Amino acid sequence: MSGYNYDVFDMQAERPNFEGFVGNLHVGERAPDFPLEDLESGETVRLKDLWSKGLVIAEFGSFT
Amino acid sequence: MDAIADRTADRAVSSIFIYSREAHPGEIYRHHATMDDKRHHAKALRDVVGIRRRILLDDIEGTSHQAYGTLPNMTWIFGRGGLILYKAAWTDPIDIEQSLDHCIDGLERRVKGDKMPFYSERLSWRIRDDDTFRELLERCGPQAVTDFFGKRDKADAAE
Repeated sequence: MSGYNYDVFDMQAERPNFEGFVGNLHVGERAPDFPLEDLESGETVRLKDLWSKGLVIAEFGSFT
Repeated sequence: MDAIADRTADRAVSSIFIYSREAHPGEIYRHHATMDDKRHHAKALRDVVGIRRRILLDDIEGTSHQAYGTLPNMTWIFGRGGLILYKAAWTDPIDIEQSLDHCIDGLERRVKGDKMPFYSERLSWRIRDDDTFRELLERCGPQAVTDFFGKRDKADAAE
């Protein structure tokens, strides 16, 4: 497994992520589609299926 | 954010929470080793925090999270067809609702022919609330508090 799921938060390691966020996927561009798992049903949901019906507000986060 | 979801549900707006990695793992809520870990923590978010929006889990390697920038609490607004209308490095409900209203108004008036879009960037501001954030980290375990506040305090002292 990669270091994506780190076990210790490192503030310095977050800095490149911010630069990547600013530098990629700009407003006005098409967003990439990915499959996600619905917590309640377990079914696979694709982002494109959601934005084919209207606007989508997507917040990323976690318990911590 | 749930309140925004409630207010906009009748305007064909879907509000989702994409569960990514643990940003501040601690002794109580550790990093994810399996998808079952991720499901367990997502249910805790739903039940303890009380999130009512649809929660969708990214895969264990955060494929979607990494494609969108890997930040811990970003928000994106997509238009029909996946057009990116808004991206924010941090989730601020006030900023999001203002932007959403702006987007909806612009899209509706574009159809009428009296508005056209242009690209812009700006720096937004949010309330700094260290006390609430410390309480959140304490919920994760002492390590989560030390990893954030301990290192930040040292960095501040060095400046």
